[in-house]
Amino acid sequence: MSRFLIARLLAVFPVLLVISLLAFGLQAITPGDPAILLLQASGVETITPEAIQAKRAELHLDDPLPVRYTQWLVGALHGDFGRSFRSYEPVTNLYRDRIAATALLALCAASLSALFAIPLGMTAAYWRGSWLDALAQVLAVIGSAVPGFWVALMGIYFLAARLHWLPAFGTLTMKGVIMPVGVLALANMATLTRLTRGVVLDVLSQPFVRVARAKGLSTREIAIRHVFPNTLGPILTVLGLETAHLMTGAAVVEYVFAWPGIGKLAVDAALLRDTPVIVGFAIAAGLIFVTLNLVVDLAVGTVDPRVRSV
Amino acid sequence: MNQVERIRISRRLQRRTFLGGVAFGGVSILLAACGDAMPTPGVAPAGSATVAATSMAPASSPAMSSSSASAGSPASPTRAMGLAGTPTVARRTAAPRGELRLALGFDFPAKIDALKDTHLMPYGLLETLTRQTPQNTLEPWLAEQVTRVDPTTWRVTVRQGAKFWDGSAVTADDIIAAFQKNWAGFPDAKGIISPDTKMTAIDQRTVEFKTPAPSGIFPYALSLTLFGIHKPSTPGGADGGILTGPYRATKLVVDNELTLEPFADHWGGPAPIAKISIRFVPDPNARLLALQSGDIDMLYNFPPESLKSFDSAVEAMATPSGRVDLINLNLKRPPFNDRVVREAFSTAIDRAILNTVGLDGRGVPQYTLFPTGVGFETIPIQTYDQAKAKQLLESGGWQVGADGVRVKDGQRLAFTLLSYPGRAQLTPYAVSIQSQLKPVGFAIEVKEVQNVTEVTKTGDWDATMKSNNMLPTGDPLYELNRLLGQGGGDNVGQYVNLQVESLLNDLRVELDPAQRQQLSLKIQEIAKTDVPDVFLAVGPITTAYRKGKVRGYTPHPNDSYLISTDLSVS
Repeated sequence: MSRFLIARLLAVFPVLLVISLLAFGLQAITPGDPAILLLQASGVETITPEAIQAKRAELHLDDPLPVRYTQWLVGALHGDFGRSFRSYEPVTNLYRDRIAATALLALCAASLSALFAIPLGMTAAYWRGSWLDALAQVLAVIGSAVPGFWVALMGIYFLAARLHWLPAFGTLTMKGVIMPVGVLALANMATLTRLTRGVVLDVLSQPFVRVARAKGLSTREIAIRHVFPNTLGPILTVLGLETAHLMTGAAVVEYVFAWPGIGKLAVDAALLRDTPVIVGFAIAAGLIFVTLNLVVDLAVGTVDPRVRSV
Repeated sequence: MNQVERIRISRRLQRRTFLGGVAFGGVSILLAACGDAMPTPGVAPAGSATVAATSMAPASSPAMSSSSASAGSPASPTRAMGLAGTPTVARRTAAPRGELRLALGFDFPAKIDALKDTHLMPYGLLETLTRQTPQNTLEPWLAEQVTRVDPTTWRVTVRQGAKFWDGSAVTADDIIAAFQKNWAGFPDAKGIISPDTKMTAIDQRTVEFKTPAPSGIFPYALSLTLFGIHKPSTPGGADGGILTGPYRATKLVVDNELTLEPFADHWGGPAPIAKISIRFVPDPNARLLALQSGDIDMLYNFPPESLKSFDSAVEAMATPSGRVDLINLNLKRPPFNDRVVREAFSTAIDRAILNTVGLDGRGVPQYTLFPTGVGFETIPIQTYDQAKAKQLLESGGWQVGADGVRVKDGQRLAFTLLSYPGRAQLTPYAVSIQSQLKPVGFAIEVKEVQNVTEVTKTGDWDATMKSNNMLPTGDPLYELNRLLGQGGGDNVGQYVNLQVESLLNDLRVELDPAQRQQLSLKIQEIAKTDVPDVFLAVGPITTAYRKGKVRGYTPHPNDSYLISTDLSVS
């Protein structure tokens, strides 16, 4: 196990190197001048060629790309990922200040969706073709079809503006997380419900389930002792990936709820061509995916001995 | 100083102000005659007692001009000095109280550093030496007074008791250091006040500015955020992180949250609100709903069509702004290198329709260069008359082709009109213009791009929508120069007229406010003929706040002064 862990952790470094190189390269070939965007963002009304030149010089934008990348890489190896072109804050501080809010949102949404989606998917599979199955499928379709920003705005309208039950924008309080978590969980729940249903149906058709039935085990016993453990592998894999997506791609919900997360930070940075923050996001996203994949692999190995032996 | 006089600068054109000015002048003279120093705060440009009284009269107010002339007559230099006096500021003594919660969707500061971010003034963080009032007059702010000694010499005295957030007094040396850093940090600033200006500390609180040439814009330019007063957060530092504003930031999460507290040692006393929490909520609908839910107390600059959606607990208003929506034309290539096409294009646009489609009827259709009623002398330079537009094109040789699009020498009257999403009204305008001008014979393709500045820099464009703040300084030179001057920052269409250049040069050195307005009018007359840009509408400033909670809010046409010390909460 320790060799497995060490090998996986060592594999992270080349992955991050490639990610950073890609992020830097893509930024460089994207059309547009970051100096103009940044001057506009700082409120400069009249952008003169002299101001653009001064900004480019300040940010070393005229240096050749390999030089800029090497300088960044040397800094990154020393723990310095540069400073935001816009706020001049160290990139590590920007992500450090936001990662907790993002993790809270993603983990709560993933847990909530798992809490509802797994039983719902199993129920739908067990009573395939019944009204429960139809209801689960309809909910799943609605959950994946309705845009998150619309659900968010409807939530704010009814739960905040009309009923005054919840705050209109996200805050790091019990009440403040309910709506953002609910909206994120809804879409995730739809995916997970359909996946669970499909996996359970697949497991139910396996010979060992027929054997268990032939042995006279009750449906409940079969579900808990035989079906559920065999569905956990794919469910955990997808749940892990969905959590990683929630941590890195919740920008729309963060936007509507003014949530201080890394998704919105990255989108804002991309719009302003704030290279250090974008590359920082690529690194953070890479780390999140690698870490969650590792956790998922360990979890799947724990629940499924076949994977462990491989 | 006995030979100088100080007269308050004002620029109101309105009749009410005219009458007010006459009354003010009369009362002032009476008081001066009694030998009483009138405690009137004012920017006091002073010249020699014999000539400057008239020449330094308020920029656009005949009333102030005449009263000033009377006060500053050669016979009464001492009285004139008494007119200016040292402004007495009623220092706030009440303890700050309450919390104001605001939501904003743009112009959120990214760093509390006046050299890195120019969004600090609206939040009560940064102060300049002078400022514009909601009535669009100029008044001293961090400066106690600004006096003109001779055509090229100005003296600025900082307010007694003015301090930085670190508790140190604002000295003449601090002002000089701040200006030097502003010139270095903002290249645009060099074009407004020359960096060759010699600055000398006369005493602890007074700086003498010796400009290379007479500069009529000087006191107005001092109100620009580019000339904010700041000092570095560490001795010898390169930043501008320590400011003087009535509020200071206790927390800033970039693009999310800004929290302010009163600066207890502010020269005007502690600001009235104990805590101001500002959330950056980029989605306009979410901001509106947050006000309706009671999660915030005040909203600023939201879409005008939302004004109808508030209940009776909310006070919502749309007030005139200094922001003009216009179209920049590329004069360097067809079809807008043809003056007739430019005039016909402008004449064929019904601005009233644009006001409806883009601003829900809350703006003002614009046919002048400057917004009307804000203190600038301005004349109608464009009109709406589609029949005339067609006649112009006919006379210019543009004949209607088989597909309804006009043609001249084989060239179709077709072009691309750029727009951008940053200002929500601009693309609806562009689509409306496309539709309005089709019967006239124009074929317009509307294209929305993320950033028009980048596109116009390439030169590969025909026409672009734009939104300009026309009142950043309160003086016509700034905007005329950047819009019509050769190499001006907003003269993206590369308009060049030597007569305009000559008039701009005259305007730079002209010190008589009345003459300045006349020069401005002459330039506008030329723009009427040349049509380098097409003016469309003045957008409103929209504000909404909870009744009974927010007090003292006065709409300001310039969005640099959102949080003032007049604002309080119950």
